[in-house]
Amino acid sequence: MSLKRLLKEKRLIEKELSGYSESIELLEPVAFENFLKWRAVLKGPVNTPYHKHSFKLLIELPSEYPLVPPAITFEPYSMPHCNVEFSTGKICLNILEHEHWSPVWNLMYVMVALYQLLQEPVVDSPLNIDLANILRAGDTSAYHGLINYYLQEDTATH
Amino acid sequence: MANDEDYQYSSSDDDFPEQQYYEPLEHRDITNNILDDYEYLNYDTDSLESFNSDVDIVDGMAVSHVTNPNKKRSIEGAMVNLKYECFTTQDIFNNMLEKVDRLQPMFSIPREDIILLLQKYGWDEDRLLEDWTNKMDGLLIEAGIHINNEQKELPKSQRGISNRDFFTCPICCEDQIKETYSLECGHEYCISCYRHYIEDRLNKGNIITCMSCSLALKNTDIDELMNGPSSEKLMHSSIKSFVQKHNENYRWCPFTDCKCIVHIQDTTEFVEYIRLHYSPYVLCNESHRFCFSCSFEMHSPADCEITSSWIKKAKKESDNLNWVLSHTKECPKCSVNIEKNGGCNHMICSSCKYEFCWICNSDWKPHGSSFYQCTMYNNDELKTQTVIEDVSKTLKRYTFFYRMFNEHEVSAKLDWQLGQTVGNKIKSLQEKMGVSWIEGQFLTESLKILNEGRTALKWSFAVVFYSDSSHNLTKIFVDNQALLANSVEDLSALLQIKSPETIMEKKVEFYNKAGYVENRTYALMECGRELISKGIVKITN
Ligand SMILES: [Zn+2]
Ligand SMILES: [Zn+2]
Ligand SMILES: [Zn+2]
Ligand SMILES: [Zn+2]
Ligand SMILES: [Zn+2]
Ligand SMILES: [Zn+2]
Repeated sequence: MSLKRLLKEKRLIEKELSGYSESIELLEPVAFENFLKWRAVLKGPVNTPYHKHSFKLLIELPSEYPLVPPAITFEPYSMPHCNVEFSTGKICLNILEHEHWSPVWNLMYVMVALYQLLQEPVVDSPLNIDLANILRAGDTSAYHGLINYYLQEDTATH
Repeated sequence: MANDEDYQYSSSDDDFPEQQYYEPLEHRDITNNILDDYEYLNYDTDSLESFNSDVDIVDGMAVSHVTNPNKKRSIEGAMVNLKYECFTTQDIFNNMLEKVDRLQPMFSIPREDIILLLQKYGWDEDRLLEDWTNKMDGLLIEAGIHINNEQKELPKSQRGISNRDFFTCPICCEDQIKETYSLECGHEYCISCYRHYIEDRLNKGNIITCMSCSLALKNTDIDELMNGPSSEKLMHSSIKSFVQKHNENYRWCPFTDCKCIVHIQDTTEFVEYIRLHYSPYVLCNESHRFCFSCSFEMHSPADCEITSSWIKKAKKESDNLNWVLSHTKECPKCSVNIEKNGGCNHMICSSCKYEFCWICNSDWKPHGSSFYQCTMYNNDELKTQTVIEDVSKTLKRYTFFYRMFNEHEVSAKLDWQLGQTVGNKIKSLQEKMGVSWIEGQFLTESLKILNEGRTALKWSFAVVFYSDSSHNLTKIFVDNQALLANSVEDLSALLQIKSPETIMEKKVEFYNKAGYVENRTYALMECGRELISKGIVKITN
């Protein structure tokens, strides 16, 4: 783990985050003195059922970072998405897998990739089978309906 | 050998003529025949070197051309004429390098590049050749050997290590970096980051690329960066994933720490043999025999199906049942703790000299007579029936069979340890008695036969567990089990003798007992196959 690298990433994020106000609401270390735990909030992209909702992410940087990818999950029970396991928030995204990860990427890059995932769910590697099946069948209204249902449940219980 | 007829098995008779096939052999004079069989022990002198490490030399590759009816029979339950080869990853890698040399004149690109192409094609020469003739240049870009158009726009760079003054590495963000590495693409990182990156990927078996683009690191780059032959590691892991991808035809030897890979080119005959309940046993170069189909040790008289069900069940039940599966037991007479240090179940208390049976804890005396009188195997038909039926209604039944299975597994392990001393025994025979190495091989051979017998005995309990206990053939099978158990114990006891003089005196006894165990093993296996073929074994989990 390189402290210099983390400091540089943090400075870069502070400088560039305002340019991403459409997509990334928040990206910062959880505590001032601990750079290994981060939190983030993604905004729901327009023209998706996630629009007008925001989604919390938990980020842990393993000690070998950036040699190995960061461990990122959505907050459990908050993200209805083809490639997210609803109960755990686990994400299926190939750049977050060790063998596909490259040390040249950084947290900002990952956030942008996750935002894209919200725009374009990948039906071939589903972690939420129900949603993937509906999407595969091309039933857009059922798809939107189910996501809305999940999202309202979520707001209701909080 | 003359006794062969007695074991020839025809399955046409529905009525099972017990005496004809499984008649006990102890009254027969088998000495001469067995001595004849040992004549084949005419080894090449080059196999002499390995006798210390290789207990199983008789079946080793060096002498595998020797045919012997006895030998063939001992692995009955196996497919006949099964053709296979045994490799190590190094052997396979060498084959791959030969491929590279064959392709090189055709491709006229550096060998390193051909290796990259083969890696990309999962070492499939034919598929590579086909694509190569169709789209050479495209292929070289795809495999990351040549830079693509996008990469061409980057500042050109030399492949290799550069010495810099104040370079800031984009990965670790350290400044004042002195040594960097880059490929032609110009993506430049410090040596230390590159090393970590490569180290992390060597065991994944995939082509390692530049951290920023698809340009591939060649083996020469990897070795230059890592200051040593690290690419070899990558090649080995690449071969490993090759073997995994071709698991129809390749199998890793399942024995701990064994690096052998067995290759069978043609598995089409399997179906027919497995239908007849034969298993495709293979022998690796380290003399481990295992089933190519289910990757377990030799499991006859059980077939693959019984084996996997049994293992599954054992895994499932192991938490529920608390077996005492230790190597030590209290003497039933004086309660002194006794450690079992051989496979033999005939225990003699070191303190009070009480002789008892490890399995049933009772007096050994009745066990010692010609029939194995342990209550666990009592040959008396009525009693056997009672044992099998009594326990059948409860979980006890499974516990009983598992315990028997386990006892023999433990015994087999202890016998194996015993085998480590056999080499020393042979040495002392040579030194003290002037016995030639070849003459001393009867010990090694006996141990091997003991082990096969023990293993068959062990798996036979899985067979009985799933068998219909009321069927006459099950009873015959249990009788055969008892006979084998008896002979195995005898041979195991014989192998514990330490004095070289006594060993040589008992040489004929070794031959006799080993030959007998071999016959009994074969008989039990054939009886088991009959049991399975006739549908008397039912898998219920
Ligand atoms: Zn670096
Ligand atoms: Zn590059
Ligand atoms: Zn092996
Ligand atoms: Zn098998
Ligand atoms: Zn005692
Ligand atoms: Zn006993």
